[in-house]
Amino acid sequence: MMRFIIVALVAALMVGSVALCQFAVTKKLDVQLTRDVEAHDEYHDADMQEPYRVELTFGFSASEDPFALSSGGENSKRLMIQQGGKTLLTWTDDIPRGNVMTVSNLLAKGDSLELFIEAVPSPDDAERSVPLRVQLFQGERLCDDETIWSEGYGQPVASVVKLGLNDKRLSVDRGLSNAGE
Amino acid sequence: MKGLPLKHITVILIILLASFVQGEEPALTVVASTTQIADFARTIGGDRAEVICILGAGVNPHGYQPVPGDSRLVEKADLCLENGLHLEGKNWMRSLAKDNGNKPLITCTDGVQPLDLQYEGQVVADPHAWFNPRNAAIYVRNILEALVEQDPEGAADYRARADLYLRQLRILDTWIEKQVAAIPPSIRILVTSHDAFNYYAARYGFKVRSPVGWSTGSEIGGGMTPERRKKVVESIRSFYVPAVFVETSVNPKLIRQIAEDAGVKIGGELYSDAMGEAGSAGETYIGMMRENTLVIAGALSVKKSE
Repeated sequence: MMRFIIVALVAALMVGSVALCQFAVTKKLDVQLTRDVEAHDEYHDADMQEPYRVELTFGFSASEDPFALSSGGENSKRLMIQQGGKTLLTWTDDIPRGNVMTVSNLLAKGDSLELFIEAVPSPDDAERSVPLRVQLFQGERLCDDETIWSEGYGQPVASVVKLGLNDKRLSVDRGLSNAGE
Repeated sequence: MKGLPLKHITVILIILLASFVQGEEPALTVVASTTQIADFARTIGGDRAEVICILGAGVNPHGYQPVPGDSRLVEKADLCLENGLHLEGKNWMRSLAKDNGNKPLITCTDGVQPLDLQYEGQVVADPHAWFNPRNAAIYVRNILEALVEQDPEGAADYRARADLYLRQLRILDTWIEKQVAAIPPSIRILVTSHDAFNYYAARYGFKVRSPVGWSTGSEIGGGMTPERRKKVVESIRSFYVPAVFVETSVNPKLIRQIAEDAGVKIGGELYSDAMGEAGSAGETYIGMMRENTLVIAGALSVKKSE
């Protein structure tokens, strides 16, 4: 009987440890892979029911651009998002492949939201054409889904993306649509 | 004699007016020491900046002695640009800027991580930093900042031109990587007449070898004894490379003889300290880098027919 209790205790301890490790790893990955950025500190438009957010999924790692117009500090960007000429976000830390960055509290009027997005692939990724997936959400509703690509040859991903506000897409974009057209 | 018809007078007036508009003075006069720096400054400055270069195509900056005409050029300059890291022997550009009105001087290599170079038994910073396009981007940023500071009204134009040019440099950099990839790694060895290509080699995975007795371009052809020549030939043989390269600013006669003795071919001429003449493929920085890479890749790559 005693032997059975000891075996049961050891088994419970092992299962518990594995579960704890799994939880810690999952939690840590979650922190590393998702970064949220507020596009606007306050949301003023009372007519809007719920603000929009854009999720960017990186199909490449982004790092400092040796050919940036300015180097160091705020200008050493890995990712920049502009709306109507106004810079919403300049990200100056490296971004690993697979990372999801969320820009929330986006203002939108009319039937579409237009963003200029520029991201700098690391030297390892820069030679080939690499994708950046852009998804527009309102709450849990997916409004639009586009994938933009770099041209390879060391060029950054740089494109104007026009995202529809209405729930017009039923299928998931596979990068076959032409962003910005 | 009949008077000129009214419409002719109108046309003449319009032409005169247009000539006044076209003859607008540039906002800045910039004097650069080397051809590469002048090319960067012209590209960023556009029509707003008149860029004058002290050195002509193919002139060696290490041993250049300024002439009175250089002082007159610097006197009318708003801004002077030098390479730095002692490329300009005895800092002649710095002296020109100081002695002719203490003109603002920008050192384009500020911010570059210099490589070491053996020179006359001493370790010095290698000044040929432009051979890595990523360093060229640093030159461009330094020149951009200087132009913006001197002429803030033109800032938007300067930034837009620099932005486009940096994108071209990025393409150049990746393009060179692709060309070099065709060369077997074991023979990615650059045997050149002087140590100008360390940055290029470090960026694209070459080893640089300067044969014994070849230290600077000016020494080649002068003071070459039979003994020294023998040493040069032996050292080239020891590298096991199919080709050696001469530089456009160096007399190729002796080097051709040495290459013949060593049993290697001349791979071609490389632009090094100065770019090519106007109208040549190497008259711009991008053209110079492109042509050098084509010459190197052409000489060292394994041909399909071989």
